[in-house]
Amino acid sequence: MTVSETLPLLDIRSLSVRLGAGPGSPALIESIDLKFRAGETLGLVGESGSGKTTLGMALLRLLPPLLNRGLSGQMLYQGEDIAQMDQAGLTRIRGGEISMILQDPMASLNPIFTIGNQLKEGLRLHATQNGSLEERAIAALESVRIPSPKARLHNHPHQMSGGMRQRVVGAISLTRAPRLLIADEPTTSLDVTIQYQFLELLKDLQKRASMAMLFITHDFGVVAKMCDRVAVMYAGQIVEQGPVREIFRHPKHWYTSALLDSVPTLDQALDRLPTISGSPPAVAARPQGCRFHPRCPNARAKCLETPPIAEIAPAHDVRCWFPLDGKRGAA
Amino acid sequence: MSGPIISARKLGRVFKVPHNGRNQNLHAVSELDLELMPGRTLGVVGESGCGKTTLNRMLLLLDTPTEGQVLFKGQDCATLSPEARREFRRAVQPVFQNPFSSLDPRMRVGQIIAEPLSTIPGMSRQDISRRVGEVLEAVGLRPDDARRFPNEFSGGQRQRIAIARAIASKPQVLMLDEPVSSQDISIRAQILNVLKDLQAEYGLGCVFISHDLATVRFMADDVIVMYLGRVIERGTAASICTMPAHPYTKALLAANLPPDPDAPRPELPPQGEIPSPLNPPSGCTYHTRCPLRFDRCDRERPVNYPAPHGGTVACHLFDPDLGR
Amino acid sequence: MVDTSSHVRRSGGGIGAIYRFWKSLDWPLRIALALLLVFVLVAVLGPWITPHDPLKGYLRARLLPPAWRDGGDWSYVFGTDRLGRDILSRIIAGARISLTVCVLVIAIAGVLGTMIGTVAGYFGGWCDRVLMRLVDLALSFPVILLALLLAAISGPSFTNIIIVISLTLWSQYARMARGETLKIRNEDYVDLARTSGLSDLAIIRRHILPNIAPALIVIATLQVGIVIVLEASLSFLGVGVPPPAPSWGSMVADGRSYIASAWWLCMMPGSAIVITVMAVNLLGDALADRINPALRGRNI
Repeated sequence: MTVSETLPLLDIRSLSVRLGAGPGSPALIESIDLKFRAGETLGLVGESGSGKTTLGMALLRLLPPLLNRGLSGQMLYQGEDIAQMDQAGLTRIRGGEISMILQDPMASLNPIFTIGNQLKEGLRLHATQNGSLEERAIAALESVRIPSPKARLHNHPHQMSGGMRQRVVGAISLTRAPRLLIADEPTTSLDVTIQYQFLELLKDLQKRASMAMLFITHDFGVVAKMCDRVAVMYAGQIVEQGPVREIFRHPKHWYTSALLDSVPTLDQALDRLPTISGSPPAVAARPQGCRFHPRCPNARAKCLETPPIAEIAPAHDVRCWFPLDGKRGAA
Repeated sequence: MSGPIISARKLGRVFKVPHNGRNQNLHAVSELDLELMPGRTLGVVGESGCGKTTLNRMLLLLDTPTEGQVLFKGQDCATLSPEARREFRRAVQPVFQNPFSSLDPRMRVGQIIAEPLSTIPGMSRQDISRRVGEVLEAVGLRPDDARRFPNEFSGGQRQRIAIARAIASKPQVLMLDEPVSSQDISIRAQILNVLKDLQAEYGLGCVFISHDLATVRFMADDVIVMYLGRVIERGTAASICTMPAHPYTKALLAANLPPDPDAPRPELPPQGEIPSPLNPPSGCTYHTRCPLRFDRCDRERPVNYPAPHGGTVACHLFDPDLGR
Repeated sequence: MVDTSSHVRRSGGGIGAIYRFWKSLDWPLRIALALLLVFVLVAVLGPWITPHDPLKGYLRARLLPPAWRDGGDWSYVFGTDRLGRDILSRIIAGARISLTVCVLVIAIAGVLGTMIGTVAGYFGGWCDRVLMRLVDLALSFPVILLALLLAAISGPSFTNIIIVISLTLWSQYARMARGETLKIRNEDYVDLARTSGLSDLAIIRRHILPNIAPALIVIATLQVGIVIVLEASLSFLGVGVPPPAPSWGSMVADGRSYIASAWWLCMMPGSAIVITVMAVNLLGDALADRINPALRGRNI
């Protein structure tokens, strides 16, 4: 415990990804600072175009060439900088240390091979345990609670339901015993009752393997269920981050607060939902200063200057000149 | 008018689908009854395979039922006169989920919105032009936007255009099929508010189809919950969301994750896979996933029993003769 | 503006609009367009601008090489053929025949194929099955046999060649039109048009045809080459444009046996074919992009 507290598993320092190498090219994400401790779940919340998926891809250096040239900053994985790593190092990281689950399970599975084939391929690369490949593949399917795993080994991906497929993808990612799992909207394509079960499973697996998780989503409900800490992204920047209770109870950024309020809930019947005016800006059209100021109800002249991200409460950072105070719902 | 604008009686749709080399019957919707009163909003809740999209298409006369009938102001839609059919087309307008697919990329916004008006006799070009401007303003866009092409707008704005088109012919009913689920969260609330304002302003009846109970709670007066093509519970939106009767409805509510890290764990968390509609379970189709099932559930299909909240529920647990 | 008139007005407004259109093209396109205009002009003015009679040969001057080669003559710029006929004059006269065949065939095959393919794709079911079997039939039918049959019945003629080539080529449009229609038919805006009370015919006209047009235009441009070559082979077999009337294809076919000793017999009309086909393809690509609104919206 003491080791993990002193040295974070992954330490991201002023990470930016631009469209090309020049410092003047538009940035998809900008000056991201994030720390992961071992075994912790960090939720990355944002709307489309906020840069949350770009950040996930950057962590595995899976960006397209143009963006890869525009990558700057540091991503220190146990002291090693992923941003500077050579191909051999990246292969080691991607193969064993950091795994990824994407939104569409069909994109991660090869439609022409059986899932048994695809599981065994991963297991063969990591010959750490004993037992035959077949047995280990069955055990892997059992670990993600797939019923009659032996028969399922001979299924092709299209013969399974969406929830089942996503669990297979999970099983494949976990065969590598990763220290960090990046889950990019893993439940968005699933039905709600299936999503619930997948989230429960993921949480359980994470606890048992004590791996860290970066959970990328647009859904605050999922964050509340899954995460220890949250980072809220808007237009390429982290605008607020902190412990999950702190963010949900006392959001300091106007965007976070307004976003939380605009979600309809089951227990109250409202006549109108509180809204945020306008829509998130495109990458090329991001405003000067505070990125949120054109939509902010509290924008003032000062907001034309870029606010720094500052610690406002213990472990709670916010990027706003005039942060909110008080409890949510009181304003 | 006192009667329902649109109603369905014992509505059913069977598709023939090739499966394992031969044609099999897929019961997308079975024995469905509903009534939509003027000015009311009926929420339809369900997950994939529950038949909500097929239901929507049948209510829009885009698909023909294989059993039962859709009624428009009491008349069977299968036998509507051409004139009555035209009236139906003006009175009932849809908004679909994906605003990228619902706007023809080759047409200007003005032409798109004017399309439903083109079949109305006696509307001059000026009338149409004025109406297009009006509805664009009603959904929060500028009348000038009529000259532009759909690809110049964001997803949220496109959905507003789709809504403007739907209300252009002054319909009495909007059929809303997941109108916000492809939108960003900050846009969802805007669109929902626009829809709610329009409901109130024009006295629209709405069918609101969604997988998300919280959104349905916000939009709808009455709710039906569907599972594998059948209605398993019906009641008012408030009662369904606060005192659900059917175990499936309870599972749906439990799966709705509130933005609250300290939310209590649900009493009946969802379990199991959604069965294939090609091969639905016997008896109560939910029995394979139900934590409260007993010996009767896989043998006998439950009828609609009165539910404690005043609606109906298709679950043997609510059989008044149970345990007698 | 609700109607389409504003759009029409914008793109067709006299010389200014033509100038703006020209300015919006890049250089390869301008060259392609200029070349095509020249060919069309040549085809139209043909009989008045040929330096020699394209049908009359001077046996004394047979197989003269092009003017810039040893033994060439500047009054026969591209040389002469085996009967001493001026090749330049024959290319000019042939332009009229070849381009007319192209335009007519593409118009007939295009309209026929698009109609059948769109109807099959839009209505589906048995209608689709019947029409697509017709397409299979057209694809499997031997062209040459059909041509010989027609020629045997009514003798070789210009009309026959157009009928034969059209019957061969319409199926490509039909297949493409059907495939594209199937894609468009699943778009929500088609369902929306139906819920607005538009008739099937109106939906096809307003939504389907404009959206499948780019793909069909690309096919049409690709077919220019095929038509010229088909026309050449049919002429070669003696069932096409009856000799001595020159078409580019028949000129190439004629020169085939002299390819080693007198290359210009094939090369000169062959170059005309290559240049035309390339120019049309370039233009077709640009046109397809231009009617694609996803690209058009950018410069508004």
